Amino acid sequence: MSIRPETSWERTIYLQRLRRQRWLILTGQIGFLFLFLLLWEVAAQLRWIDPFITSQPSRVALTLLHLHQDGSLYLHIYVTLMETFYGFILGTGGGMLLAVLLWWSPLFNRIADPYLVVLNALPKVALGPLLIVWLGNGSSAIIGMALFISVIVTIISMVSGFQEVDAEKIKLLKAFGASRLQILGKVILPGSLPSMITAVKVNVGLCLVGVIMGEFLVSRAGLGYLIVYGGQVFKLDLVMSSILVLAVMAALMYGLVSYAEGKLLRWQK
Amino acid sequence: MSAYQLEIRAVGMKYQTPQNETEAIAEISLTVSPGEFVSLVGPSGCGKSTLLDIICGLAEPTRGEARITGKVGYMLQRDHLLEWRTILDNCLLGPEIQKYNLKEARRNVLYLLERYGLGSFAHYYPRQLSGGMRQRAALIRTLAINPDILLLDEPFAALDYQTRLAIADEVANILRQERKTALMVTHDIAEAISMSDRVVVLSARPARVKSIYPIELPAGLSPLARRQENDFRSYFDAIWKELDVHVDPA
Repeated sequence: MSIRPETSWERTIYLQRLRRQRWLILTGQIGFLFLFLLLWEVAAQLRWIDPFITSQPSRVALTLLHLHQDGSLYLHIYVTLMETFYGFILGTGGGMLLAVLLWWSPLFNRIADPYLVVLNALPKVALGPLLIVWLGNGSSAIIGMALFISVIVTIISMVSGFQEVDAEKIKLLKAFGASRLQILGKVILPGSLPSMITAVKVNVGLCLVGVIMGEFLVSRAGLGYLIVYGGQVFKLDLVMSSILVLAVMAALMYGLVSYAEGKLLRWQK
Repeated sequence: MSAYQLEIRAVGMKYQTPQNETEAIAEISLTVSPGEFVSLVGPSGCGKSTLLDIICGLAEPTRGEARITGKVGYMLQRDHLLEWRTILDNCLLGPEIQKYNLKEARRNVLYLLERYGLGSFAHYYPRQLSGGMRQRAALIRTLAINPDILLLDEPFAALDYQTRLAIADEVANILRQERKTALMVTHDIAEAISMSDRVVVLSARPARVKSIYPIELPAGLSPLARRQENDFRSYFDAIWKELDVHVDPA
């Protein structure tokens, strides 16, 4: 018996119960997916549902295999990923820059306020036709879409993040004789790091929405294009496969941001 | 050069808002000599904090002027340590802003932290420290720019009573050892008497100086020991009466 003296049997039981519960949750999560796929496949095989409309797991797997073999899967992923990346960088970077500008000049902030509210309420997809005319029917219009959908939200949430920073902390810095630039660099920006990370998290998702919307409107490549194309020629296997790839991509991007968040906010733990 | 560390001459202050005008300070004149510890007591909302803001240049008085000889350090009610900086880096905030030689400042801060019992916590984050330790760190942050006069705005108000007594004792000792001049705002009469050479009683808003009590308790005693002195009680009673606190019956 090698139970460490500080581990009481109550604690051993507690830890056991904890482990069992974790295992149960994980099994449940994986089991649900497995059962769902199984049911879908069986229902399609036995013609309870029409696989022409609903597709089925084996056909999705086959479609993915074909896309992998002719290499087009990676082209479409690459195109969507790149468009999302540029849209994200421009939207988030530009939004933060503008937010700093609005913080710097409260007068400018108050003048801009009603315009931001209106632009925020406007469904960005309505700008699609304009963007296509202005930027051409290629990737730039799609990146423009992702930019527009993320930039306004970024400005609004960052400005309110800046304003949430404790006024007394700013007073403390002023008492030390800090310049406005020093206040920005030493308190405002690091102090609103949590809002910044929230903005980044939201923007990764929003940009993907913008890119897919853009690809629906105008494109020759990308997962959005694949989905629309699949729908138009009634290849639901292609649509399902693209959605699956898109879901995995979104999850990976979210994981990446969460990982970065943990690294950046070490002081909160 | 004036012989005073701080000279407040006929300072008056009015606040403007779209709705109305508020007179925070009617007229205050006060001098503080080098090495002196002076406390301001007064009813809440009487413009004590406004006065400190004016002294360190954060607010412009409507009338009069506050003249300071030497450098001023401001200590606020709450510690306001930046959560994302370690204790050491928090204490280096002032030297960073004022563009000191950071190597030297770092050595100085580490020495102060060591000397006042925070040496082993230099690389901790603020949230890992107790309230009293955080307030001590805030004092060291203020001392890191080597000020000649410290303005203390109810520096212990956010602490629980036990910690408050202990930290007041420590802060008074630290300020005495570092030979700093201090002007403290508080609403705790006992705290003011136990720490100060003089207690200035202010009237309700708009503030003016009502009276000034030189505290003649033995100078070498710590604030906690001074609380045990016989005269402490009579000072307390006198200032209590002067403040004329009314608790309205419901």
